[in-house]
Amino acid sequence: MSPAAEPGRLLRVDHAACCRSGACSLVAPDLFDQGDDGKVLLKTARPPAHLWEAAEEAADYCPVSAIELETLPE
Amino acid sequence: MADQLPTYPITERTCPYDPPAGLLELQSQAPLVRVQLPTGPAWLVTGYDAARALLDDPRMSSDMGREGFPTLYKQKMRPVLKGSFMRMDGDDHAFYRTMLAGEFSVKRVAAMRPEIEEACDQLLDEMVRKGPPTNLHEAYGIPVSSRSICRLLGVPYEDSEFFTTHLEALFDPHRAGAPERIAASKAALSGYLDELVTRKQKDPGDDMISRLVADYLVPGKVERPELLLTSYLLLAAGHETTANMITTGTAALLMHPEQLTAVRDEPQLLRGAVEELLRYLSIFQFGITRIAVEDVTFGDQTVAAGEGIIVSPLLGNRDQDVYGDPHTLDVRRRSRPHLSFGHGPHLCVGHTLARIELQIAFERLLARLPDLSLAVPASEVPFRTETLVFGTVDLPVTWGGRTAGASA
Repeated sequence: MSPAAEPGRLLRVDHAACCRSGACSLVAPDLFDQGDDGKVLLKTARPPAHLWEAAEEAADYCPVSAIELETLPE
Repeated sequence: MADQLPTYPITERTCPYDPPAGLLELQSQAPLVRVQLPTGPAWLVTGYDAARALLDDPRMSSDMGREGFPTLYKQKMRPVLKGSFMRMDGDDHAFYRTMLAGEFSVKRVAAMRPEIEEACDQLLDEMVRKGPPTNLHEAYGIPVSSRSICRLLGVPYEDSEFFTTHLEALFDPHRAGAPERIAASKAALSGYLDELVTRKQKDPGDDMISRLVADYLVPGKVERPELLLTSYLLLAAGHETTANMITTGTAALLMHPEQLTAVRDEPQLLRGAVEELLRYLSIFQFGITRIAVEDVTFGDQTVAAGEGIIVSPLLGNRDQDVYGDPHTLDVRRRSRPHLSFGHGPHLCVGHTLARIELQIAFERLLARLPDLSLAVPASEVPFRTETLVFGTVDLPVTWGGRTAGASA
């Protein structure tokens, strides 16, 4: 578990909004997967810094804006 | 401003790859511009941000049965049939997308990779055996696409020729006797799908139709005609577009040799190159239609309830506020997602399969025939600019040390 005080990013997915397009798992397979029904599965809510760009890309690729990447306060 | 609205679609291109000048002119006016469609006035959505906002707005309906729905051809408007998911909204649409989502999941599609690779390799073997020149669309674009679809649906290999022939006939409105041929092929494919469902009920396999039969048809979640219509629509939407992208994408690379060299020699560029070709070519050129069910405002413009919109991926994909140097093909470009598969809940359900097919098709082609070149001068490659799907279906290519024009 990473210490709570560490600055970072928080990845959130809106499961109800997810339209099962698979766009996130396609562009950021390290962060997202899909269930058998196509629904998004978030692999980690606290992506390491080297995956922030991939997380941003996935959020942009989501056709229904169901992914949010929040910057946590330092 | 003239009183008369500009008529749409505008199809006259000077350079085959660039949007018509008249269309770019509309883009410079506003993100939403009033145009005249054959069915009446509608808003042309010319900007990237507006396109994304409106395509992901639940107040924009896909229901073609609604009074005043904008269309590119005058046609008799009928209520949308059950199973015609592309023309449904909200929960009704989501039901079918849920049914299909697992079939097009990234994992499921990735599992098809070896078979698509094998199909590409076999087709390339055949091309090499027959020798150059050849029309790449017939020898490669069409069969790669139709074999992938056969694999997805669980159509046995021995039937793939029947399938390919009828699929092709659906999309050849220019040949003599086309309407009769199209009707006959539609009937042949529907009949085939019907038989296929019966077969998969008795003898299921590891394929989409078998799973849909077991999970949806047998428990009574869908009726047989719905399942048949949904499957048919997947064929109709997926085949020609993918085949065309393979051929027209290859044409674009051959006409931008430094780009082709980069993709061929640096396979890690493939994924981005496919995205860039999808953006640059925007083959589904005229657009995506919706009708507003309530007033919807974008910026300081309002689409009133009952008004239609047509989103132009061709213009959105060339929006200079989003893409630097938008009219340049640059396979190294890293950019925001293009609009060629749409946006919002109706995003092309087959985008995962299309993307992997295109990656494999270009990779195999360029690896096998590294000196692939045009067999005619570039100016002689015919482009279809007035069809729903832009591109070329006639791409004479050669390889093996021959130079362009030598075998024309």
